[in-house]
Amino acid sequence: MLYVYGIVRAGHPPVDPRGVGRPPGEVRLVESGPIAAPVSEVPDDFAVDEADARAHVHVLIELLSGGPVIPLRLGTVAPDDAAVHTEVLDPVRAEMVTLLDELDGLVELHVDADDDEAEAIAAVAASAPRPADGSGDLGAKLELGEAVASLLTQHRQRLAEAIVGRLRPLAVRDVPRSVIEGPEDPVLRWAFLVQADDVVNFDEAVIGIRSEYPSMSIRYVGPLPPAHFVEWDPHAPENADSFRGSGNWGW
Amino acid sequence: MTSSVQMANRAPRPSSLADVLDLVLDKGIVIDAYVRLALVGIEILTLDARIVIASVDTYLRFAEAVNRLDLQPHEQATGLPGLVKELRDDGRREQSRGGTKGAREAPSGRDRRVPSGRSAPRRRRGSSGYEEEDED
Repeated sequence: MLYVYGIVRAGHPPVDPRGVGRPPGEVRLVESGPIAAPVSEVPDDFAVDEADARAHVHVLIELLSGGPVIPLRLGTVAPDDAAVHTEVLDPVRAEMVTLLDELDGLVELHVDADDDEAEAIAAVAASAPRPADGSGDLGAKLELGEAVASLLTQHRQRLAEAIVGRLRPLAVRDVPRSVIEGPEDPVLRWAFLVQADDVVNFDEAVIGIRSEYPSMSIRYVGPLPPAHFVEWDPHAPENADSFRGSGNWGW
Repeated sequence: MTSSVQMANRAPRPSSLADVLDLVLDKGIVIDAYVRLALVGIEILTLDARIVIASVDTYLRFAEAVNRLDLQPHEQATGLPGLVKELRDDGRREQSRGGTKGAREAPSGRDRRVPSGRSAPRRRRGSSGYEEEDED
């Protein structure tokens, strides 16, 4: 059984060969004309666990340094080389060539921001309406808490907009990585598709944001394969049930 | 480039499982025919434990935080220096409770990691987390 990591161009430079499984399978390319799939051998009863998820990401990140990479979803396996050809690569060769060209030179960067809740509450507290009679009964407390919750959410949305607004001009595209709408949600979880040459400018912008918001915890990760920009669309009718569907692709 | 990376503190790869799965679990291209997804033990990690509607506990916690702030004098407060200092110290201690670092580490990891009991862990962020850090 072969574990399939993604799609790259044929002749993609070899990378650290340690793939999924224990011991790690050796990653090699199965080529089909201009495209190729990095694969490694796994047992027939192979099941993906956390270490394998990390190994999958590791292989994709390693590959990214040698050219464009289209990630395949975690846990994709094929019986043998022939199946990789006939089922994975050959049916989508033209589309993959186009997509690889589009992604060439682009990398994904993640920026996550979390604030200090106490500080955030302090920042919005003045705007929260206090109970008129100063009562501390449960209803009044809940009303105040609800008002604070709403103010907190708005406060964080403004912060998120400010941060994304600073970074967006440096990116080709950007998307949120999770829905943020509740008062206990973080400030930002965002993915940016960036020209590899612009990463250094992005670094500078993140440094600027860090110094502008010193109390905020900002995580910055990359370069990553463009997983958030080659999405399979589960809402497309022909893909809606794709786990046992018609064999269509989407991104 | 290197110095820029260092100064920007850019991590080369995601560290938490949630961030790893964020890249490859429900992202990337899917193929089906003759190819199967051999995920075992991962699905359970992906149950979405988000609570969009805040709980009563959360509202009460926010209200109490504001009440504490109302008791805490502002920097420009004048008079009764001794009392002001005492209140301020008290307020600061309370405030540091409210902003527990430990509690704040949670969201990204917790979004996907909670196997069951959906709402409980998030609610507890507000209470149990404080007590632990406050015992010193």
